[in-house]
Amino acid sequence: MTATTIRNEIRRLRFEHGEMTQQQLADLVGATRQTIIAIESAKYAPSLELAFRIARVFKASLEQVFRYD
Amino acid sequence: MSKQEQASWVSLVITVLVAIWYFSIVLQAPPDADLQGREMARLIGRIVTMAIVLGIAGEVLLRYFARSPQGSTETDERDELINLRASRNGYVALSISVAVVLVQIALIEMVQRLPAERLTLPEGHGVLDLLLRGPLSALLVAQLLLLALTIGGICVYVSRIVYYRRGY
Repeated sequence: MTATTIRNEIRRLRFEHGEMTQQQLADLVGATRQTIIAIESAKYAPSLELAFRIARVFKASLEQVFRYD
Repeated sequence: MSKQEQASWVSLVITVLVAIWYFSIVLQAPPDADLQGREMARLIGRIVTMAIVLGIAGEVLLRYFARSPQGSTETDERDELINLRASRNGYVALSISVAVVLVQIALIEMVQRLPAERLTLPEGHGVLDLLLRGPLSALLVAQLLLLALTIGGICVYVSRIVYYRRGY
């Protein structure tokens, strides 16, 4: 299993935003649920555009959602 | 499992089944088989029809059983990236397969130029006998290239499945 070096706080942020489901987040950012699952488990590093869209949903900065280990 | 992954599984199964069926018939053909005749054209027609029917049936079943929530995205950047990488792998596999076919043709040409007494094959080798003794027909080369194309296609589907399973 290949994991990227980009970690994220999406799971925690979803929980803090009214226990938003992965499908809801996927619909808000125009991605599939499988992609959100892959990003959350650090198996896929999203494009800069998708990362910004995710951060915008949580009204957070990119650094608050993603970090590079 | 995403829809794209399911579609890749269906395509892989259909391609492998059709390829096994087709190549088992072609490779088991007797040495005196008419590989350019009407029978061969009928076989290719049946293969193409079967592949199309199976492909449509698979697509219909997938759409029936894998209904996405209303308004949800079907494909996104990850799917496109996986498709690109899988296509690249398929291209590499196809290139290698075609190179192998070309080397094989050169080797067959070489073997066929050997004096008959130096080429000792046991009886009942079917296609191998035809390959080494008979004329190297354009249709035989086409069969080998078709096999190369099939290997390239299978590589694309396997790559997609691996990328979806392993994570990308």
